[in-house]
Amino acid sequence: MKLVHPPRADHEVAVPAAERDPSPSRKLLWEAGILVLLVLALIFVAPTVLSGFRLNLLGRFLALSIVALGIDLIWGYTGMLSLGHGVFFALGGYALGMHLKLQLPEGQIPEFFSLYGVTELPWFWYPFYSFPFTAVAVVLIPALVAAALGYLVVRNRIRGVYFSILTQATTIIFFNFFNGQQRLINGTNGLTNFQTLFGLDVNSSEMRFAVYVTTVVAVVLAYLLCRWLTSGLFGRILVAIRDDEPRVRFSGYDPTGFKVLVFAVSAALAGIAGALFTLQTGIISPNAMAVPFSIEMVIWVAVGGRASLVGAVLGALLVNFAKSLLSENFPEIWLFFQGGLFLLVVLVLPDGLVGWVRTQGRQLWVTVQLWRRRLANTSPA
Amino acid sequence: MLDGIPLSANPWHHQGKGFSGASVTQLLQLFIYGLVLGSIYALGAIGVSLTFGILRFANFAHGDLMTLGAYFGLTFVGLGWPIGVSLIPAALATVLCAVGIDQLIYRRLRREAPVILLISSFGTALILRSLVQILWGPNNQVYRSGIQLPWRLGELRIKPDWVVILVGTALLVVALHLFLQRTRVGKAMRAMADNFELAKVTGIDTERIVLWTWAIGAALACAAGVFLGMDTRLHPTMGWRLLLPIFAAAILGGIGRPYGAIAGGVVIGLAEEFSTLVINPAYKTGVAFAILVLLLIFRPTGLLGSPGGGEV
Repeated sequence: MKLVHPPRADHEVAVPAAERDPSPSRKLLWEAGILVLLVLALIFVAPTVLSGFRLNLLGRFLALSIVALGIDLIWGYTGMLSLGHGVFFALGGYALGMHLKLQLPEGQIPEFFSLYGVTELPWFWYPFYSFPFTAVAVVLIPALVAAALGYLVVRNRIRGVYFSILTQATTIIFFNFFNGQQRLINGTNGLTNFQTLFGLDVNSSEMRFAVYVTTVVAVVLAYLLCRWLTSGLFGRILVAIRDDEPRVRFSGYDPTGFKVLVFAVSAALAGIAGALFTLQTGIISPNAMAVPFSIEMVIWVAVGGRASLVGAVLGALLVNFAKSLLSENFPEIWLFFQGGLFLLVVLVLPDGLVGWVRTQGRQLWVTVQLWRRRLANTSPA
Repeated sequence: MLDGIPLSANPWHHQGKGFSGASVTQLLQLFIYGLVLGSIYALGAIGVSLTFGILRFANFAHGDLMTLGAYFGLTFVGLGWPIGVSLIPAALATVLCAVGIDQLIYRRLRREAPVILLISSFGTALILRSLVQILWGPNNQVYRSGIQLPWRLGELRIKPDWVVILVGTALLVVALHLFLQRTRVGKAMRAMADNFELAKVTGIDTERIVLWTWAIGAALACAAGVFLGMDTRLHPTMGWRLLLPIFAAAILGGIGRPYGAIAGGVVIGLAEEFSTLVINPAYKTGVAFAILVLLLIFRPTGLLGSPGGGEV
């Protein structure tokens, strides 16, 4: 038996049309089926296979994958590279963190205030007694901050690299502010040591599992939202803005509204992710607003594949698992590895893993099919 | 943004200070601090501005190039050489690294979108930083141990190192000026920063100019790193922390304008120091970013740039 390399010209004719491009509705059915299977696996199989510690990690990473979806929405689809999503993430985290810190008997204020001699709860804490307000704030505060910033930025047609630099500068301003305000929000220590939510112990295994399931559901909802936004006319306009904004403008669409809206949506997703992450790690501190974290978010999406929602989720999970494995064993290598990952993505995998599977992987599959066919034809003789 | 901070309630705030309350000596002292910091920013900003202008490349690894230069300086100082002499081989080593990185990585990406270049420079930045950490260790280091006694002029205090930094910066700026104005390479560089396509059409060997750009940027970055190390101390993240003020300086001066970058650096340095008169010094570093954000929103082409043009 001899392996024969197929001649190159065969590639184009190899795959029947039906295999290459299933009808849209069938494709959608497949997608829905896979999604349901994945959710069932995450909720029912993962807890039995993974230890409590690993399951908690998975839950955190799933929360992070929601930010990745948000980043993909604005970067992968709309072409705005935000280096400041840590701010929105932290705002969501702080909103929920404040609610958690207020689970106290009547008349008491969170313990850290006494360190700074504060006896009166700062005024902006009061609304966070209410859970409905907090839930809305987790989504709306990041979205409004992003909308305000986005409006100023987009109206002045700040694009490309300038947008990235500006969002990064924003993280530092927020970081400095939160870091310096001991008397308002415990400064650099952040909010931690959470006890109860809805009167239940946040550290009980039932509560942890409930949070995990909530996170899985949130990821699915975020995925569906992004899926819906990026398909159809809205999605096509986003991609058009990414590829040639002036032409979109000439075609009679005003990109401003679209860009501001999509920036706000992606910030809201980051806020939700921040809240879920805070609940699972038990701490939110200004470090979430520090520059490195916002940059890490970008690398998740770049590794998974820009302009692919599955890629964003996959990238967040893979990179974070790699990070936790590496930083558990060789902490000093992680930075080096991360830098290498950036370069690898840019030089070798410009479209990320999903992009690679789409182009090279498909090519490989075609080649394998050809080999098999040839082998089947030649071996009987 | 910074207005909302309740200043009076803050125990760390300088008591009784305000523009009206500050003495002339205090103002002068802040001016000197600002000038020293501004010199370091300016030297860094020239490289950022040139690479941004000529290569359309926001190099996020520039701060770490400064760090690398500072640590090269440390190695030569460790051999017993005086710091001024160590600067020369350190700058050469930094230039070699910068050119090597360009040939190894960035050359393959010349045609890519600016954002892709930016991401690749992040990767380079992280690798440089962890290399510095692996080679020289993660702790604070100094060129010279012991406390340097400042000269006293009345109430004014001046550290001898500051004079070295200011004179060194002035010499480097004059050298850069002569290079840009008098040499063919310098003229070609300015032409490329002004209009890349036009410069190419006129037959300028762009690849050669690109190498010169890296060389100049890296040499000045090394000087900035060494000066920063003299003023404070060496740490693997020292340059990275300066990156955004340096970008602020480069953007303030107008991208691709080395003279603007110098002015921008000095302005940002002075603004940061003088801001401590009115806000908590803990927020000093925020000033550069506040300037950067306001500038990008209201005058994206820089204070000296023409309004309208200059989009990347």
